[in-house]
Amino acid sequence: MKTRHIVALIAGCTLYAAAAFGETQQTVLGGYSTQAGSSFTPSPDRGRSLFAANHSASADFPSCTKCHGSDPGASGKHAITGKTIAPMSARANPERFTDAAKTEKWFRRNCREVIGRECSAGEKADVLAYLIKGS
Amino acid sequence: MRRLACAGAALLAALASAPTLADSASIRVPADAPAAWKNECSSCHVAYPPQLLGKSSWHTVMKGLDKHFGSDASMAAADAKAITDFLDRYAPPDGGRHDAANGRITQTQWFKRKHREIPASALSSKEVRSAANCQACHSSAEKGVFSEHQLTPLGRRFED
Ligand code: HEC
Ligand code: HEC
Ligand code: HEC
Repeated sequence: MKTRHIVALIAGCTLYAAAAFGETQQTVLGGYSTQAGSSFTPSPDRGRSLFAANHSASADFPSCTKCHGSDPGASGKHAITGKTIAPMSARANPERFTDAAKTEKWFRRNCREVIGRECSAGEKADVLAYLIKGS
Repeated sequence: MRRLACAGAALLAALASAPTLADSASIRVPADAPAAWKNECSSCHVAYPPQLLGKSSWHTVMKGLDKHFGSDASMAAADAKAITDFLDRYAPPDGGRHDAANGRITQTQWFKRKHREIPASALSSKEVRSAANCQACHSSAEKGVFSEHQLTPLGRRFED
């Protein structure tokens, strides 16, 4: 009886947390985690490293932060065109990662441009874990 | 009389859609701009109105989206088609001052003439970054308004 209550409480809290983060953000992140395999756990720290690291595919924008800025809670600026880019952190910008096709399109473009290859499902899950929860 | 009115209206319509319209300071974004154009073509820079570039030059841009001025702007074929159709409706015909073989508005005769008093060094200065960064100097560039009366403080510095 008692354990059942606790289980219900935990389930309730998880649901509540998911709603607070925005259901679709969780679905988008969850989709990449599932693709990455059953033993995979997304890591905000790995995501942060990938986002800030200097890669070698582009001289104009060696890192994700070149356009998105080093603080995901603040606006970024496109490295070539100077256009303002809205904050990447889901907390600062609730519209982020609520459209799986949009998120996937930009991962494809930006990973190719910056890293020189597409990102793996695990890398995408890490980056989203960082931008949704860890920033 | 009615015939005359009709002819007058036709003439006005023809004038209004003539490519010389782009010479006036009030190039507006056409009301029937498809969602794909608004979303896709405004994400990395201000969406350049279709009136600014000749038809074939736009085609060059749309055929090379995977290698788009050093960026990857490739998109779903249906979106690219809707955008190309829209550009075709409003692009000035080839052979005028809006042609640019490399698809750069900033390389057209038209653009160069409008900015002939601004030194090239200013257009590529650190604050402006690139001549294609219209909104650095034109405060209503997002609406397709490039009037010399709607300049940013930075833009006003280059005014004659
Ligand atoms: C050259 C500039 C540039 C660089 C470098 C860049 N991005 Fe982006 N990114 C953009 C633009 C522009 C958008 C779309 C505008 C927007 O959504 O505000 C975007 C959007 C995104 C999105 C979609 C967000 C959503 O709302 O779904 C993701 C994810 C993303 N970028 C990840 C990355 C990652 C990871 C890197 C590094 C590998 C990176 N970006 C590097 C310019 C850049
Ligand atoms: C992934 C980012 C991205 C997307 C999406 C994008 N562009 Fe661009 N575009 C750029 C960059 C970067 C430049 C080069 C800007 C510079 O040199 O200052 C550019 C330049 C241009 C130029 C030339 C500007 C000039 O005169 O120098 C045109 C025209 C253009 N884009 C049209 C489009 C159209 C039409 C679309 C939508 C189908 C589009 N762009 C979508 C990144 C993008
Ligand atoms: C470095 C600042 C700067 C940039 C960048 C810039 N312009 Fe301009 N533009 C000006 C100034 C200043 C004027 C007014 C010129 C004058 O008074 O002689 C002007 C004038 C114009 C005019 C004529 C306006 C009128 O009232 O007759 C048009 C059209 C125009 N610009 C379009 C563009 C477009 C399109 C872009 C981007 C592709 C762009 N400009 C980029 C500074 C800039």
